[in-house]
Amino acid sequence: MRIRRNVHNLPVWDPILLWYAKAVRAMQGRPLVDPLSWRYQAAIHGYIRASDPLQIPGETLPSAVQQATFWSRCQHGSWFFLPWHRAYLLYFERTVAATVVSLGGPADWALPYWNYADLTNPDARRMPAAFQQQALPDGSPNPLFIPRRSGAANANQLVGSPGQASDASCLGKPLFENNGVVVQFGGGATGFAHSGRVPGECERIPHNTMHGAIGGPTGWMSAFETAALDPIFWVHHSNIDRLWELWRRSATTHLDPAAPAWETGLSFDFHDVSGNPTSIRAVDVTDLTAPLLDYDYEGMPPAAVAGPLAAVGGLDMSDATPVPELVGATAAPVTLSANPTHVSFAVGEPAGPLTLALAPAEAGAAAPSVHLVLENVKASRFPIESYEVYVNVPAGQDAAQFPQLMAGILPQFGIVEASQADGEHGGDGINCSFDITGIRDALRAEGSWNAEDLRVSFLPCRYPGDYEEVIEMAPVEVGRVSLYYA
Amino acid sequence: MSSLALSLPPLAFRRVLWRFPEAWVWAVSIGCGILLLLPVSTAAEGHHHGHPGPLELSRFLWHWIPMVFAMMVPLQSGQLRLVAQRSLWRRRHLAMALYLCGFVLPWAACGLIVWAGTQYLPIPPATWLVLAAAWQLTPYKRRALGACHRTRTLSPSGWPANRDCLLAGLLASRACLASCWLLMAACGAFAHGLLLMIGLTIFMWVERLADRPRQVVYATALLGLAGVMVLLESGKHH
Repeated sequence: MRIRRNVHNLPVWDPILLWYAKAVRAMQGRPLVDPLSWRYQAAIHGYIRASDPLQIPGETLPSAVQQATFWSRCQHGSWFFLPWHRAYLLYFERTVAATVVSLGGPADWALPYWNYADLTNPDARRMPAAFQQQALPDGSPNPLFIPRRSGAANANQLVGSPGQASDASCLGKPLFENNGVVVQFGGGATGFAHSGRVPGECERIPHNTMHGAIGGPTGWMSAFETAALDPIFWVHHSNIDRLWELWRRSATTHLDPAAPAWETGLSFDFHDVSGNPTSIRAVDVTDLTAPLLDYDYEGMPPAAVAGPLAAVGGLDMSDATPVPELVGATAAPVTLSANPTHVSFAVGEPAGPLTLALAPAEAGAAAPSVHLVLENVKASRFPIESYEVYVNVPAGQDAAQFPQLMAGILPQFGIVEASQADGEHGGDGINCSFDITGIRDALRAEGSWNAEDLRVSFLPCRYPGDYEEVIEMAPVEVGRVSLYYA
Repeated sequence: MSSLALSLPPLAFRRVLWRFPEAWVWAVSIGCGILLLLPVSTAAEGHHHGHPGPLELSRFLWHWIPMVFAMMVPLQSGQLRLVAQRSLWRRRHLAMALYLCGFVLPWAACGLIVWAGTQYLPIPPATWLVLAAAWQLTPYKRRALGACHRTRTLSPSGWPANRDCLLAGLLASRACLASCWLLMAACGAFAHGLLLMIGLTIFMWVERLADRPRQVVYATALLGLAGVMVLLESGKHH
């Protein structure tokens, strides 16, 4: 069994990292048309010829059919996000491992993972040193070093904020599948979806936020079609994959979907270690001990789950799963800028089945949860700023002084591709949902929750680096800010 | 009032509508499908060169509109549910109805054009299918298919909300027309032949839900279907 190690527990040039670097260099030397080449592997996640930073004029491309079958297949905003990326990592890892062996390295090479949320390590958010060094120990260029990253990533600074790196929110989610606007660990039911709808919490934070924090406004990690060209992509995703397994093992109730639509509804195309086409389904990648996978993570607790799949499938008609209900929204799009932006809108009371929970006779019932949803968020270029979203900050006050009112961080990974109407990703922009029940409860307890009027503030936080010289401010448009009860 | 009503055990259909507000649209579509099965003004009338001949406009639309509801509207069920979810509770069904109006109106206009074609420029259904096969291989088709999944923001209340729902339906219809109009024209040219409608309905669902683009496969399938139709037509001649 392969063991994926914590990269921050390894010396700078541990053999795992040194062999990774050598294998990356070897794969980079293969032509784009080779399925086992570095660029082909990255293109499986996303590829746009016009924005390929490594394109060589006149080079041979795979056939149009091959491109359509294998390239730009990433799944986001979908309950396939986790299984697709696990399969993607699996075949990539086996390809790198085979390359390591061909170069004379060990047979048990495995991808390390970057646990940036490790609260016991004050340096957890620093880019692993091997990815910052410009040269290997022998003095040759280091293929793990990519200049196109955020200012912090290559300057040995802490990358992103604690909130962007945190895994606490996603690991605390009780279920895998989103229920409409109610976000759970793994995402909502979709078909094949490049951008999908509201992502699962693990996809939003830390996945999307750390993509943006590592890549910054101009880095490869910030766009679908270039992200996997950066060797840190795979180490980042190794951590996301670890979080899925950690979530599964942390409670007997943490179960993957049992719906056939998720388990076997779609099969995804990849290339095996020999470069031959192969396909794989979600159900094929749920058990790390299965012969196909056969890997585990360093520091992982034993499984708390006795059986791998026991969740109820089919249509959920139970009253325990509330029907989300819109109670208010902005009437026009909101444009975010380099300055704080505030927007207010009227909020009503639920009028549907949620009134049962509000009725006096049901006083003992739990009050509906409250969810702030940002719909169809678009940008033509990756923004210089990330945005923290606050609720009901008093007018004229600095939102940063009210951390208890922060609903969450607006992630922007893939926002440009998702905004292109003619692109592979639909043109819908991105969506995200924040559970602000805790904020509502706290404000209600101190008597300052106004149930009829909601004020939402967007506080820009500039990515580290002097980007004014590189690009102009790219405005972000939020199609609608809305409030749901569920 | 509402809390009293809601405190009563909800009826099963009401509970279904809570979670699947688009269910009544499905009921309408199924009803339209059944309507098409009824033996009134079927393709048997007015054979012309071996395939069903032109119909009067009223009879044509009597089939065309139900056909749009039976074949195209169910493909919008995901969009309809999203429109309902993004609307205030009391507006959910109105929002879906307005979306449907916006969606069906362009298809009705398309029906008029197809009817005119059957009157003045009779193109055999197999030819429409060959054209549809060729359309499959263009980037425009793939782009239009992608646009069928697009979502749009809606104002929460008042006439802007009505306008947005109507507009969302219109824009969805535009993408849907660009993607599937040749297939529907083939059905119209065949005077809504039942087997062709069923076959193309399955085809459109497969295409819409597919996890990977298979333009060549789809084009081949349509050419095969066109070939079958030619054989059937020639069989009738003999």
